[in-house]
Amino acid sequence: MNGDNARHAAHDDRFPPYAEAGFDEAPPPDIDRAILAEADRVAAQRARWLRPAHLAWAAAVALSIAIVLEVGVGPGVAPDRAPAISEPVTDLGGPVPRRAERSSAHSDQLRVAPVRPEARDAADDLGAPRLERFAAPPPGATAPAADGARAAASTPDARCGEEARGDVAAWLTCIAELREAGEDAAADAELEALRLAYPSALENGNRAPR
Amino acid sequence: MRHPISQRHETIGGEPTSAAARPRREGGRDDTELMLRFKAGDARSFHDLYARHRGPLYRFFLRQAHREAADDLYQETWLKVIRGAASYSASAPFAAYLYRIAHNVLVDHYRRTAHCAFDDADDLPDVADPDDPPEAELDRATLKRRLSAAIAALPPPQREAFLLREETELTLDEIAAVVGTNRETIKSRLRYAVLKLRRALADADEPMEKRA
Repeated sequence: MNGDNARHAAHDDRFPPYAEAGFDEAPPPDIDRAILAEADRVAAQRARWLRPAHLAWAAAVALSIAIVLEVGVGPGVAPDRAPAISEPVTDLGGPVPRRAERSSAHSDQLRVAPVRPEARDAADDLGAPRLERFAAPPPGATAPAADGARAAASTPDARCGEEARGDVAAWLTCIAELREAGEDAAADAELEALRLAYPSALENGNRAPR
Repeated sequence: MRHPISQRHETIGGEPTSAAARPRREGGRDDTELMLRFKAGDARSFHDLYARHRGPLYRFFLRQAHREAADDLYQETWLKVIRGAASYSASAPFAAYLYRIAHNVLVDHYRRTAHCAFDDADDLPDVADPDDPPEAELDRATLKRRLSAAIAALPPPQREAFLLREETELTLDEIAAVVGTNRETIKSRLRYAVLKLRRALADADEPMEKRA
């Protein structure tokens, strides 16, 4: 056999006699059955396994989202105490000071704060209406928050701001201004809060505004 | 005897082996898709896949081992495919994946039995069948017997390359990847295999012609 034949053989796609021989042997039927049965078993197993896997995946995603939300929002407000969506966020005279008042360390500081003489003077000086000043937000609050505080202070439900509550005299002044404004209910509520916060304040010469 | 097929191979290298490069079979899903569906738990897809490859794979083993061993190797290969389906990826055509496993199973078999040569004369159909088949059938049975004997006499690497070329649709590069060599080596093995087979068939014809 020469080189040309060898090259020709190398480029032949198939060997024709092999196709002519017509080899058609097939595996015995029992082997076919065994293999297919195993395939069915494995497929069923995989199908069963995949379904719970999807569920587990979905549960993992849901749990992850819940954890992210919890971490993002923070542990602060319990659901039953959380403000409603429609509630104004700038209600500075309401629940926020009250929570601060109830919180342990801060409220202790408030209770032991001495009554300063200048505060007494301020309490006597009830001439000008200064509701806005006492209801003003703390420094650093944004302008809309200050507006909200002013708005809240001018309503019948308005209470004295955190700054006023930090000082007995200022608080009394605030209560007096509430009375002047004809908001007796709010003034009474503030007075009651003051009594709770500073039980001895009214007995030390501070006059409750009527 | 030097072990002619000594390496097991885990990866498919070489030229285009991506499933996307392979033509889709007419009238049905492509092998890779069927295997992926089986992987996802669809048993019916495996039945289709099995029907396509059962004959060629069985003959691949039958031409290289005794019938009993071929049965075992064939079954072992499919079981590996089934149980390893979870790790199957579409990076290679299914046929290349299947015959790579078959190649490894065959290599293990050779190592266990410590020889690669076999004589499958006992497995071949008897030419002098008492049922007196028609002449064309007799000729084909004769050819089958001679060709089987000639294939069995090939060196195992040439035999394996030849059977992969004849029984599968794998390209030269894919065959090279299956057996872990390069394209040129496969071409060489195929060239020598075909030459030997032609010579063997011609030698078998000569005495008959002389007798005639």
